[in-house]
Amino acid sequence: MAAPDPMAEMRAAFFVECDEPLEGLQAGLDRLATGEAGAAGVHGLFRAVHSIKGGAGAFGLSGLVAFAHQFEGLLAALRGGQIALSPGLLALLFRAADHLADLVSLSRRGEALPEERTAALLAEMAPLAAAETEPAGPDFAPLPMALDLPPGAAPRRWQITFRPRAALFAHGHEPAALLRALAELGTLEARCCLEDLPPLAELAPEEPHLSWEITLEGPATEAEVAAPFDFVEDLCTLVIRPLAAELPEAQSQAPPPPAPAEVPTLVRVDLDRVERLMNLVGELVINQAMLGQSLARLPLSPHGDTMKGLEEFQRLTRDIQDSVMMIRAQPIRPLFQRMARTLREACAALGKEARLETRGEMTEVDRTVIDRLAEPLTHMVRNALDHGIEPPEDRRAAGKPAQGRITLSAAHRAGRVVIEVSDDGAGIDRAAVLARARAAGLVPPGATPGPAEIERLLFLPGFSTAEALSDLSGRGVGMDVVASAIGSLGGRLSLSSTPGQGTIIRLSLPLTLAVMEGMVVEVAGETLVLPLTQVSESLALAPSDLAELVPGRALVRRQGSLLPLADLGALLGYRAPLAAGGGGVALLTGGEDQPRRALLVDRILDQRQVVIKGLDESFARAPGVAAATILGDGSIALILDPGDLPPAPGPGPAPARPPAEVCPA
Amino acid sequence: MAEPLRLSGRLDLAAVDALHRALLAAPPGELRLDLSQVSRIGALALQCLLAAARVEGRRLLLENVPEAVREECRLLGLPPELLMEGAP
Amino acid sequence: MSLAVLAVDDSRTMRDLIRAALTPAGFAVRTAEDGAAALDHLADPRPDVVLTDLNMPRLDGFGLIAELRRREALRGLPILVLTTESAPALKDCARRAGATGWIVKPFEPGQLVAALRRVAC
Repeated sequence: MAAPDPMAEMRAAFFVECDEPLEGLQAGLDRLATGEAGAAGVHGLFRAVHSIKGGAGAFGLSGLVAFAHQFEGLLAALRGGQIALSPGLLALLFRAADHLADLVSLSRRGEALPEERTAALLAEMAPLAAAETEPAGPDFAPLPMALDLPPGAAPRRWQITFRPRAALFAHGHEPAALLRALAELGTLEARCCLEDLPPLAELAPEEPHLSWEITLEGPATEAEVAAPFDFVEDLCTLVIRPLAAELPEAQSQAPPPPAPAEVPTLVRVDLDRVERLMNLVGELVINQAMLGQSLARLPLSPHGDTMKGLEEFQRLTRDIQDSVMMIRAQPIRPLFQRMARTLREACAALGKEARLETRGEMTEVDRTVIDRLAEPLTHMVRNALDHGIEPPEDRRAAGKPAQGRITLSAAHRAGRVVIEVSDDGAGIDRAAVLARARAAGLVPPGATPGPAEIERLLFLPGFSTAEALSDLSGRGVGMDVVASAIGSLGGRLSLSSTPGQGTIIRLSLPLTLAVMEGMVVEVAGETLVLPLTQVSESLALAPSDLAELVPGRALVRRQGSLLPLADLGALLGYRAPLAAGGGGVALLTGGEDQPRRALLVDRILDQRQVVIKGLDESFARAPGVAAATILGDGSIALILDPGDLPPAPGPGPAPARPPAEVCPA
Repeated sequence: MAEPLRLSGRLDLAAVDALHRALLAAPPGELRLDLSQVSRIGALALQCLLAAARVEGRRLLLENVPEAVREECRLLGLPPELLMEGAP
Repeated sequence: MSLAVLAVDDSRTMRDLIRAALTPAGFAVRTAEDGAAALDHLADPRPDVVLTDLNMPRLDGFGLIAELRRREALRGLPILVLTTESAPALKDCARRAGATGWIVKPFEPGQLVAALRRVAC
């Protein structure tokens, strides 16, 4: 096996480090747009691009360097006041920032960069960028590079008088180094003058008493001759002749050094270690449950030391678990920033105007949730623009500002993450929705759903049909797909709309996907777990609760409606279908976003938090089986996804047996 | 002939104080300095040697001067021969 | 006898790049992630040259330079600034604070080596 390439590792680390300046760039541009940013803000933008350019140069990413360089020049011109901030310039800055992010991303994956788009943006930026940007290559001070003799250039003679002060040495300089640098410019001859040298006994060794008269012959200009002394200006007396014998100008007062940014103390940790820690904590929870069960079987006093110790242990375990689960948590801000870009592109594509406002962007969410939230959120933002925000003329006619507003907010509430996507558009056109739902056969003929029910129709599978979609959402994604994506995350979706004023979509998501509140049930001797969020009710079945309109298809009476009852034991292949009316417990699943059904189980065992463990890909996928967990007694229980279970108890697949091993979540 | 005084390392700002004391403490007359272990010699150290060479009755002998040190001395206009004479 | 370099930069990528550039050239490289950490690395053996970034948390380049120049024992220690910035005003600040020289990122390994040899040899 080849040894790991250190350059490759450093390159990978560089790309990870790019995330921060890219985020900072977006946040800074947002502030620039709202007028909150001053000169310091623009400088911050400059530094973000500059730092990406610097690292990119080190890895030979010349395309990225060239683009960053031009972008940096543009920002420098803005910072220096050579160009003024206008809506057009702001839009260009946003586009350049988005493109820079793309280039970083493509470079990271080793893919080719989009030449045309890059060239187009470069051409747009060029006339505005500052004239005096420094060259894009590396540049060194204080030593001049070797010079080529221009043809016919006359060699010059310079007389240099140099007298160092004590501070010159204290600052780490040595006359020899300075003279060596001068010697690179031509032929050098130095004469050391010692008139002031005191006798040895009176000499303060750190106090210099030497000076030098130096003659230099070469084509160098005065600037080039002065260059090696750049950093020692105040630390010596220096006279360069025969040109005007001016000493290098004393500088005007320098601006205060940039204040170090306030950063929290961070540590960089390998993701593998975090995953390992999470697994171990998961095991800890399981083991603690097992211990609890074993102890419960012993005749111990509930108030004695052992049981009290166990309680304390359980409390500590929960605390550790909470802390560890949040290690993978990240602020949701980058995701919201991506949505800002999505919205900008959508606005351009649809010819509508809208801006994105965000609240609670520092709300922390498990990274796995963030990853899986990206797609549904994108569709929601696009939908809000497409169907919610009216064209500018309509908005003005309605007395609204031409620019629509879409707001994303995130907050922690009751142990979950609540995200809202709201717009100030026209609200849901209920008549249109109802008509489409009827056309799709989703509404029983003659039924007259109320306003809230009509809104929920949007989420029904099959609501969006190909013809109904605009170019933008043209890949066949409607709210129904979004809803099921959210559902598979263990999330809930709800919607409320006011005609003429706008729509709010609310998502409620678990804090983490590694742990779940589960309802533990028994079916045909097997222990199964259902996500508690998807179980709306449980019902001990009495014969009066059941009906059978079609032989073999039992129905449960509930609040005036009939729900199909699925025999889980039969559905999963554990046993033959039970005769109707045989008792047991019905769990009602589904609700606003999922079809309602009732699942028949033998009995409910418990309700508790379980650690989700994935199933190895080598196991044949059984519909309805999502994952597995290890119970307190050490046995493995399957976790079901009710929405994924087959609709009818047919001959059934092979029995869904739990595997002997599970792999980490 | 007395044992030479061995100088070593970089004779920069940090080393110059000790060098000065050693030169002051050396017994009068001929003073041999072995520079074979010296990597670089700074201007302040050269200044010390110069002052030492000028002491009344002192004869300074620089021995085993490494090429790098010789080059540095020449650059500063103080080749070893000149140093030993205390320079005009 | 190799020259000891103390490289101070809050970017891990940079620290690795510096090490990769200088170690083959015979330098003994120690690194620190910011100025405060650098101050812990000044003991035995004392570095022959310090290479520092400017923008770092806790104690930045300017603070580090100022502190190093305050210390009696470190008189004459060459301190080079290695940074993406190149504004003359900033260079000036560094110079007044006591920096010996200034190198702009991105650097080529050969040039970094040459710059260090100029001040540290």
